[in-house]
Amino acid sequence: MDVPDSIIKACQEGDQAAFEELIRLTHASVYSLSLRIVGNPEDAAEVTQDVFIKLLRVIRQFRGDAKFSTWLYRVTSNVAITLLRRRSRRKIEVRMEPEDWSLLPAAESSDPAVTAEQRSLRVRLDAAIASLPMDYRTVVVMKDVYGLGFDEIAEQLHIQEGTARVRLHRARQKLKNMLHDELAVG
Amino acid sequence: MREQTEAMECAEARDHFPAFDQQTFPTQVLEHLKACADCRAELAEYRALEARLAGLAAVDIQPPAWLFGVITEKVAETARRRAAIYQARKQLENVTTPIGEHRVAAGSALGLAVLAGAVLFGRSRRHQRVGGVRAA
Ligand SMILES: [Zn+2]
Repeated sequence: MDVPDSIIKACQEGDQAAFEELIRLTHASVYSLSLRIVGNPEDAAEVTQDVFIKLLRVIRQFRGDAKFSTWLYRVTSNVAITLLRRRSRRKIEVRMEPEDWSLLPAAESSDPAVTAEQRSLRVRLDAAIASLPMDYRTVVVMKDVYGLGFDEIAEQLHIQEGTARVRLHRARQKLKNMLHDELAVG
Repeated sequence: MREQTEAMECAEARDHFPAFDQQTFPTQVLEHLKACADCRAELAEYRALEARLAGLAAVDIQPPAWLFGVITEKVAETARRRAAIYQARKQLENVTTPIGEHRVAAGSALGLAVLAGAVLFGRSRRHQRVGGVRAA
């Protein structure tokens, strides 16, 4: 995700056209993170819409001391976790079957540095992450994939940092075991 | 003590690998790694996993084609509603005493805000149409 500073600044000043450009540039990334957390396309689409509506209100709070992408990942994971919490209170977790991840194509406009090989590995990695229990999945997606800190992960999930670390540890063990064949090759 | 270090079990050493960061490993584990090729291979798998997870964020999944249009529409609608509320508040704040006039003035301010909202609404609907076509 690459958003020019000028676009962010214009959005903060209430420029509607700039905001539309921001949506165009970032909605695939917001959707992808949401999907990796909530586990199904319908909820991911709902989260994505909610993120941009929330951004209208909070984009002025972005001060430029962190990367915009990291800041946006933080906002997105927060909205996604709120939905997950709502769902689990009602005891419903809708989740795609891991093999269904192969039906979801990678976005065309992804980073040009991403190779075809990375794209094909992506499906297996996403499927493996999706098969993790929810508590492990959220932590590994936020920390290892999107680079958020333990402090903010713990805060968002309402858990202790130590608990977040333990969950991450288990998630990595499980992923390593699931992907052993391809990881061992290189 | 020295013998104990060398005799560290593979399983015990491997408990530390999911931490990824070798800097955090106890000396005994590092010693064990020097001596044990199996554990070095195991650690290499964790390293490969770490790199792959970090690379995943760059690979976005294609959102449904309708999503962009729906987001821009909802955002425009929300922005319009917020602007109308803001206008109404501002009008109400400008209204001053006495009480009788206050009522009348507040009423007309609200009416103005609704009118402004309707105008803004009409404009943003047209704007969205254009945006929608472009997105499709
Ligand atoms: Zn060993």
